[in-house]
Amino acid sequence: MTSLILRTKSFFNLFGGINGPKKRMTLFIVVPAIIYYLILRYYPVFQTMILSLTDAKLLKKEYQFVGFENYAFIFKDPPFVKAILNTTMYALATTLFTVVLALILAFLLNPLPYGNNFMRLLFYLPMITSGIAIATIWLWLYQARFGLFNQVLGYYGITPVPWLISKEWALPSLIIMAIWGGVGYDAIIFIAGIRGIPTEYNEAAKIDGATDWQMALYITLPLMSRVIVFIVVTSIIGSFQVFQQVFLMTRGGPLDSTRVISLSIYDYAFSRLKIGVSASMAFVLFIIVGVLTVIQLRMQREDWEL
Amino acid sequence: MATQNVNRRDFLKVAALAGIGVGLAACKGKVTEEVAVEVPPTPEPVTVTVWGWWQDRMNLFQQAGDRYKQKQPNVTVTVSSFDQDFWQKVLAAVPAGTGPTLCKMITANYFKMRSENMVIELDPVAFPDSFLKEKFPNHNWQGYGRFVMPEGEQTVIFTYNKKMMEEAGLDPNKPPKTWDEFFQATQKMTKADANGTLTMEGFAYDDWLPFHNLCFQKGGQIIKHEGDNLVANFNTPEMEAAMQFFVDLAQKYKVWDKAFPYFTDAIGNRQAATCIHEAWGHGVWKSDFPEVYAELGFDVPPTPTGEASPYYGRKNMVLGLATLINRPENETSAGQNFQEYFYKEDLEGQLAVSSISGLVPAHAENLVNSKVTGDPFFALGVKISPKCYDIVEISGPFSDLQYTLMDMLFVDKKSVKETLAFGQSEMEKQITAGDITAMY
Amino acid sequence: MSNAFAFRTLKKLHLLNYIIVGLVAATMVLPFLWMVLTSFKMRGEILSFPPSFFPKVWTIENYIDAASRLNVLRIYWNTLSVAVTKTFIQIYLSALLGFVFGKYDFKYKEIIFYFILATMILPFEVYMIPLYRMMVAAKWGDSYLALIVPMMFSAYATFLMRQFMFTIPNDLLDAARMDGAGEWFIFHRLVVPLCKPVLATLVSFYFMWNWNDFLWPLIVISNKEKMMLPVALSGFVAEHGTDYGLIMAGAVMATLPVVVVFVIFQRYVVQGISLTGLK
Repeated sequence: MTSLILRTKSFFNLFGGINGPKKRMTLFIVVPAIIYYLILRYYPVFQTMILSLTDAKLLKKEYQFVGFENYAFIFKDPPFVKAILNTTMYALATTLFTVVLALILAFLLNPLPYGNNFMRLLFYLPMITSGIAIATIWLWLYQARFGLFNQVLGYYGITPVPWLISKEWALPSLIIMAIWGGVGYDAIIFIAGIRGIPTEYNEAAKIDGATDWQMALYITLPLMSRVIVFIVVTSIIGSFQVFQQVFLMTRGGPLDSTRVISLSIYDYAFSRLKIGVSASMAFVLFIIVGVLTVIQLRMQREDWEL
Repeated sequence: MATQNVNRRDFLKVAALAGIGVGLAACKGKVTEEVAVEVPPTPEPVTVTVWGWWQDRMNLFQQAGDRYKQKQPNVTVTVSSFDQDFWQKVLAAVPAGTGPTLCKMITANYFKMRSENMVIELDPVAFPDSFLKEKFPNHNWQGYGRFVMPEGEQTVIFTYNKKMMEEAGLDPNKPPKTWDEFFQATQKMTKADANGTLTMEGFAYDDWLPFHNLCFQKGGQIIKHEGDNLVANFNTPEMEAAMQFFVDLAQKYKVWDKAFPYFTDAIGNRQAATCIHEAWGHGVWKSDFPEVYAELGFDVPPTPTGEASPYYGRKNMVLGLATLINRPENETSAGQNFQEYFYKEDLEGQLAVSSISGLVPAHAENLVNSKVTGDPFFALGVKISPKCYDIVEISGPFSDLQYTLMDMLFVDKKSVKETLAFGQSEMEKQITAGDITAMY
Repeated sequence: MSNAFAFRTLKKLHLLNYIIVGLVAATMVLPFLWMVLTSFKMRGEILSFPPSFFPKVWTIENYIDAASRLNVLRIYWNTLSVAVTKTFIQIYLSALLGFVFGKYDFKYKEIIFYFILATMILPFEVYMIPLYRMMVAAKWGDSYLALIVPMMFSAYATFLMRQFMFTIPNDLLDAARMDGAGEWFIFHRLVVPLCKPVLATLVSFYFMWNWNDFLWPLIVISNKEKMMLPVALSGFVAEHGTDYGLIMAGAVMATLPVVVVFVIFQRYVVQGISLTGLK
């Protein structure tokens, strides 16, 4: 028993600088977490990364190392370059609009004395509805000739929009759908964030004569920065991985205007069975999003705690 | 490298030595060549698992399995249906040893799995060559090989709304036979509003491989063999004519609008008057749009000169069940016996499975079954079907190319010549990359 | 009901709020409403054009069809038990991790945190197959262990919990420590209750994700008896997917429990946090 404690203590000096009970708790949870992620995430991912340096095929056992050939290929492949551009556009546009709208919504909804829970349930709905159902519904909404949106536009004499069948509109159509799907969800988290802030600050400001929007902008919003950063970061990460809706609705068309990275990863893995190339695309995705994430987290350096 | 007895500690040790990870990945899953052997009725109970997609169809296989149980009480056939993501499951499970005994096949994945030795060859004793050629005469045994049984043939049909023909002053019993007649008829049936926007299109198209059908009708081939090599033969006058056909439909005759809904919905909702499509559409209209179905007529597709052409369009064989590797030997044997039962004896079962998809039956005796010859739609299919011809395996990348070419012509408004050239070069790339396999 | 904004004046503003929020909520709900209504329509009516909003003829044939294709009770039970277990484990572990990363300092803390965060970035498909082979090698193929264990920790929830932990004043915790409270007590009795809004939110979302999880259960589970609901339902999407009524009925059946859980958990959200302890 003593030797176990001694070994734990010396292992712990790696973590250095924290005391007794905190050490135990940290040890209890962080070390298993690290092991867990190593085995169940990093190891499979590592296998895949190694594969990105090979010409491996999905069902074949043998493969050969080809160095960075796959990477050279994908960066010269117009569909993949387009995929990177499209996915970036999609992620940034979706996140920006979703977060801004969700914030506005959260501030509007929060003070309402009645119907709060009910409204939030409604916001929650797009998120929980099955992806297939949503794709089916929006395909009908966006149908170029007889879909609801164009019917309404036509009624008001506006030229119908070639939603999913034109190069210019296909990606924006998907972005709009994504905003619809994400706003409610983000708003719910923002409301929880607003409610987590002590009321003293606003009460003090009110005494000094601040208006509601001033309080919102200068007090609540900054105090919510950590939650906002969380939403922005996870939104971007999630948007970069968009797959299901694109797969069900446009498959990357027309003419690669909605080709996203995940679609290419899937295509090369399960359609062309070239998991070497697929893995290299995945690694590129990983790097891009990783860099963006680190940048954002670093930007949130100052401590907002009071 | 045996992975069956990995215990937890060894596993963790290996995980820490990440460099070995690669070797581990390569070695997982035994791949053994299983040679089919005829075995007498099974002594111990065994379960044969069958995977497929589309529950309604897989139910038919389950019924066949239940019938088989009457003959072989020790064999239980369990059929499971998963959805289209099904192939991710299969491709993950089979190498890992957790796949099914039998699997419903689809052309694109069949060829891939076969080239990786994931399917087991049909037992030559149970299914000798002579039997196969006699009982499944329309099937391209040479191109597909002896690893999977055929299920039925998909033909290309021309569907027209008889009522709309009448309203346009045409004879509903004389559908157009030549391309010219076709253009004229569809023009008469098209309706447009004041702006010229179509309110009803004369023609809807099935967006699956549109160009092939018309190219074949002109006698073109999209692939050539030069010695041992496969050469793309896309940029030909025949293919040019095929593409021009579509361009004319949209721009010259104005009978077709790409913005219209998918052909099954368009015909079903009376938004289109005619259509050239794969046979399965018939099943959709019959079940989902019964009133419109009553108005529909079916015929051979119009050809350039109206001559009965053996190549009315592309026809392909839909594949049935194949036996997969990596299962215990007794299970595989039982599975092969079930396969033998189904494809040699259970003619009713085969007919049910092919009919649910609107296919022409594969088995020769089913071709003359009154359910087939007595139904005008199936009889039409039988008439069209001899010479079933998948010139190439339609792989994922190849069908994507077709969509791209369509978009080039109609979204990007490129010229036919440019699109042809692009199609040719892309096809060449795909052949080099091994994404296209020729059946001939 | 005290919260960060206590508007007592200007009913006008409330009205405007209600209108805007109401409009937004209506757009959120419209597709969902259509989904529910479609599930009660007969086949011919769904596909007719122009489409009707309310069913002319109400029918439950889609639900009967769906229920008859599935062993509904068993599948509901399977999915429920897996979802509940997974959600509980995930939230608990993430809260603990979030607490340690948010409130403690130790060497390499930031690196380890990024190490965990990075796992969120890759699409699941990328490591799905090697992970599956690992499960098979560990003899967990076709078992619920394979569904739960690889998902025990969640980088997303950990991240969110950490962010929330930052908003809990350290003074509160130090005060408790000075009173002799142990770290476990502090975590379970002080911190967790303070996180109720976040926890309730996370439970709602994670239950939803676990309930709707499709791809991994598809790959792992083959035994019909153990099947999960989304996988079973997706078998409905026929080759050419035109049985919309059936699909929508399935979608409603899949969504209802999630809605129920959400409603229940929102009741437990503490409306507004006042740190009365520090006044």
